[in-house]
Amino acid sequence: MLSMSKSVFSRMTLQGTLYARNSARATPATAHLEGDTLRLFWEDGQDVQSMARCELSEPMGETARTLVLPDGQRLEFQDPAALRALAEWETATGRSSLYGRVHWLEQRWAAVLVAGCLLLAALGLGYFKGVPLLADRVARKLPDSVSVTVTDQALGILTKILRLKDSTLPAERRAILETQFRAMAAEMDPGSGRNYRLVFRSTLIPNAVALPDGLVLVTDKLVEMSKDDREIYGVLAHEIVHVRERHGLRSVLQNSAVFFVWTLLSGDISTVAGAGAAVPTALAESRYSRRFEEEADLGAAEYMVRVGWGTAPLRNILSRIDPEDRHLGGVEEIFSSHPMTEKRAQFFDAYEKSRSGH
Amino acid sequence: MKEWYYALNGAQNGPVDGTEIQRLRAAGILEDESLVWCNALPEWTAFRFVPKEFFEEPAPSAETGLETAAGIESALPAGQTAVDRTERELAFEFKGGAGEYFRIWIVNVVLTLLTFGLYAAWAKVRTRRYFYANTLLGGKPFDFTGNPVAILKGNLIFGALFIGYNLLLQFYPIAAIGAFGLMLAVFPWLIWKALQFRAHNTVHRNVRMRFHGTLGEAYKVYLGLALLVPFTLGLILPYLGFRQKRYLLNHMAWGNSRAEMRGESGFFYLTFFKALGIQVLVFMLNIALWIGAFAGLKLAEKADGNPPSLIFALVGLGSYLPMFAVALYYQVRTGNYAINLTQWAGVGRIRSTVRARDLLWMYLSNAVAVLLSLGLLAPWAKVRMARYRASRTLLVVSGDPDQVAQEVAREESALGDAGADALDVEVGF
Repeated sequence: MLSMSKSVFSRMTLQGTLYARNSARATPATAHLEGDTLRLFWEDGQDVQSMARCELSEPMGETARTLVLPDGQRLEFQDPAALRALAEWETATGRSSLYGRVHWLEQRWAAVLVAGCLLLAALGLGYFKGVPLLADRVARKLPDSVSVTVTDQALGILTKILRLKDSTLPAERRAILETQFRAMAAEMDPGSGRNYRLVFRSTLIPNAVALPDGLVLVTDKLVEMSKDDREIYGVLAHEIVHVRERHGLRSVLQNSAVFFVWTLLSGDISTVAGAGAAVPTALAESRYSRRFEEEADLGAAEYMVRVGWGTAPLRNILSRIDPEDRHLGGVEEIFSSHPMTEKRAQFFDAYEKSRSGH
Repeated sequence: MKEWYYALNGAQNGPVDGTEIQRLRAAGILEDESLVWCNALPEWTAFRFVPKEFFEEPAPSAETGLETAAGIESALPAGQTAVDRTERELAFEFKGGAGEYFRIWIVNVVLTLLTFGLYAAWAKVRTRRYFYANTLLGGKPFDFTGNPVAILKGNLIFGALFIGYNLLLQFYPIAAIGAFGLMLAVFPWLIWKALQFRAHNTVHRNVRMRFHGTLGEAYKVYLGLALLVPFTLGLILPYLGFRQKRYLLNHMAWGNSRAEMRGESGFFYLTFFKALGIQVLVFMLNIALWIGAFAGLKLAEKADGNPPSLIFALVGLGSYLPMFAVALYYQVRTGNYAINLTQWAGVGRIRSTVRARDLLWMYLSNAVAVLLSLGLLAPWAKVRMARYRASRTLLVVSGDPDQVAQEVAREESALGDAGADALDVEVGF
């Protein structure tokens, strides 16, 4: 049955438009296709060619196809019947190509649906598992010199944009904090050989920043705002976790991956959706960032409970840094790089209770 | 007199005159989609694609021309020219469908991701072919013949530049500034290459397009003049826009029909200052709006302490939208002007009647649709845009289209092969 239909279908008659070499004059033409032989008839001429020497454009939906003959003649097929006949001739003669297979997929809604679901699954898996895992691996492989360079550059940039000035805190106070910091780092990240050091700078906002090679920057304002040194130690524990887990490099790597995949995906979207097209990357990157913050919070809470200080100092300093009662959930949260303050306080509270319960 | 034929219930009727055709349409016997034909049309055409002027009886002199097109020049008295120069309008039409393109798009996306971006070049060729081949001029399709490898080359160069730049930015931000300058310096070369590539690979009626602008002028209009913007307080902007448009259009050719842009920079300045005037007005309104919003905020805080972020969202949108609209107005007006004043030697001219307000509505509704559908409606939006642009573009041909096309094609064999060392990058034109 199959071989019979093959012999029937390998002989085709198609209506098309012919352009002679170097001519834009459209002439209606009839093409007979049989095996590899193309016989062409038009109002005042005819021609025989081998299909192997012709260039046939790829099938694509109901789109017109062209056949360029070796002598520069060009045949255009727009008629649906001609397009069908061409497809049948290709099947019958066993011609296939990359785009031919792509076309096979495109013609089938079911295949498209399966491909779409696979795509979603791959994207989900990549986003939640693949990218974080890969970034972690790569961050571990990177030589220490990378961390050092990034730290140098980042400190330079921070100094400029935050207008950092030399600390005005008394030297003894800084020495006490730094000694405690080194002890904490040695306890929380033993044997890593990282050059943990505490740097004080003065600026308007209370903040602490961990840089990849172990430099933790604390602003005078944060120290002044604390009512108890344990509050500062809680923040430092949080920053040590950032350094220990290489969050800085991992986040650079993860965000690059998100950006790369988004560029591939959004080629068409960005042109029609304008600035809105940047929203998904912002969403994806802020979720990664919140994950790292949560991990650092957990590490800090573990440390504080272990040394017997409890998480109260952490909650206190948080509420003082961010006194505005920020609401939970909503649009604000999903774009935020940190979890909402209230949520973090709740987490510290719940963590301490669960530990004391045991 | 033009003899019209029309298709009704599967049968051919006629001949009748143009007035009768219009009467039949008005009476509802013919519909917008009904096929009609007269000897001035290249083929049977839907009523709605036939320009109104076609139904009106031409002046006697023009009538001779039409008769000529019908092939009875032997009847002309000796000495009278047989060349038909009657103006006709050929419609652009986009006949692609959202459902069809959706499937092409999603298969492209899946394959691109599976190959970590390598397939992107093949995907781009397929997309471009889809949009070219479904754009018809006078019923005849365009074709895109670009080689994916050329696009892959462009992608790799761009990717390498981008990654290199970002690495520098992470590790040596100061060096990145230098690298940025270097990228600016290659930018005109990339545009020049891409223009050649695109024109060379655009085929209509077996005739290729060609871009013969020089690299020197590319550097002048995309870098040299652009560097003057800060020193002239932006006053050079309209002139810059004019020179860039002229560079694009003045060096295009279809076969041996060279395009010549006859516009003046004066129109760009006029439109620019009109747009600027509106912008200033909008800006002042905005200031009033912001003051009002802040006052409202203070009141609301006193009342119940809830920050009304909705007010800010609305005010933000209120300031962004008019800015976008005014920029679009300038772009569309000058774009239409440049296209409409470009004469294609021996062929005629393109008439674009794209309207800023239509585009504004389409951009906004597309953005909302694409965002709400998580990107799934992007193919639909793209098809919709192509359909709109085609529906507002015409080619005004002086003469019988087939005859004109034939003349244009003569020198085609003399074209150099610009496709040989081609590379293509995505730059907005």
